[in-house]
Amino acid sequence: MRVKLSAITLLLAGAAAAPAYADCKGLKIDNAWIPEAPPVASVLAGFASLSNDGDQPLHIDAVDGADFGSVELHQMSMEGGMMQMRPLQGLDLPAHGSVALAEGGKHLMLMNPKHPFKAGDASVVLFHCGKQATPARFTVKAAQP
Amino acid sequence: MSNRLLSWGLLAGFAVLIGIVAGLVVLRPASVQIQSGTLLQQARPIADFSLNGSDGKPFTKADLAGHWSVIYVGYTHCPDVCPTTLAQLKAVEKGLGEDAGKIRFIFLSIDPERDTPEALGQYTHYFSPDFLAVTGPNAQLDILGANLGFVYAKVPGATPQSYLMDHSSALILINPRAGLAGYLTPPFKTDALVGDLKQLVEKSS
Repeated sequence: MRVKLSAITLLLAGAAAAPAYADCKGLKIDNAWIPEAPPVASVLAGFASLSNDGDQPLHIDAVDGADFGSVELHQMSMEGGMMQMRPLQGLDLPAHGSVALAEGGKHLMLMNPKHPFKAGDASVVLFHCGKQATPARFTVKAAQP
Repeated sequence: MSNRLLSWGLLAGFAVLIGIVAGLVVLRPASVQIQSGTLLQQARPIADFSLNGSDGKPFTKADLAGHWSVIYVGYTHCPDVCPTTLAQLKAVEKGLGEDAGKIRFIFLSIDPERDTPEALGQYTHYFSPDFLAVTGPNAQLDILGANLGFVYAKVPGATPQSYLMDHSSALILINPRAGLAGYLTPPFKTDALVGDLKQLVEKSS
């Protein structure tokens, strides 16, 4: 009983220090990377492979990160020779499904970086699904033309 | 006598024929075929315009004369395609070797509200110190757009500051007489771009 109580106290103390989230059930985030951009860039792109190993569909409704002013989800598309970008209202991952955040398609818009990033740096970004959130470590790499 | 006339007639006919063939060869436009896009049959003149270079100097039609130019239309708040294309142009510049000095690469921002010439210059020179960065008032961008065949549009984003810009994706080719020569269209392949640009530079010099 005593052990349990102290465990709870610890948990509460941890929660007070930094908001702790339970992971989004089934969400896996792999190959998360940021193409290196000019130091003056006020927006960076974020790419990753997202998959849902669970039996329930997942909806990612927000993304944020301590290193950025805000994070948005965008869809790039080419329409009649026009480059277009549109904000997305979250991402849907069906049960056992996946979504790619990749060049020329869906991607994260990492807005107003709090410091410049160069190849080799990393930043943790949180993917929220309701009250849960899964962190992912994005590494900065040189963009390959 | 009649033989002589016949000879003269034949000679005259032959001369006319040579003239026609020579005329065809001389007057025929240089047949340059490019893989990465389309060349106009005849270059189109461009009206005067006045933009601002990142070096603090005005950028006008006169700056397009005397060398080939490749114009890329975009903006710096575009984190996906624009930096990838600029990185690709850097690879093209490298692949051109000595010929790179005969071509000017220009990043034209259609987002003057956020891209000040100075910030635009810092952004662009990260890719190559030789790239030019230009932008200007919308009225001037519109004149150039109408002449070069590019369009752009502002699209509201999640916040007033995070608006988006739709823009034409083709690279615009300008010949050394400051005329619109054609377009290079995506998806871009570095080797093909290098080959096409080398051909243009060599055939026109």
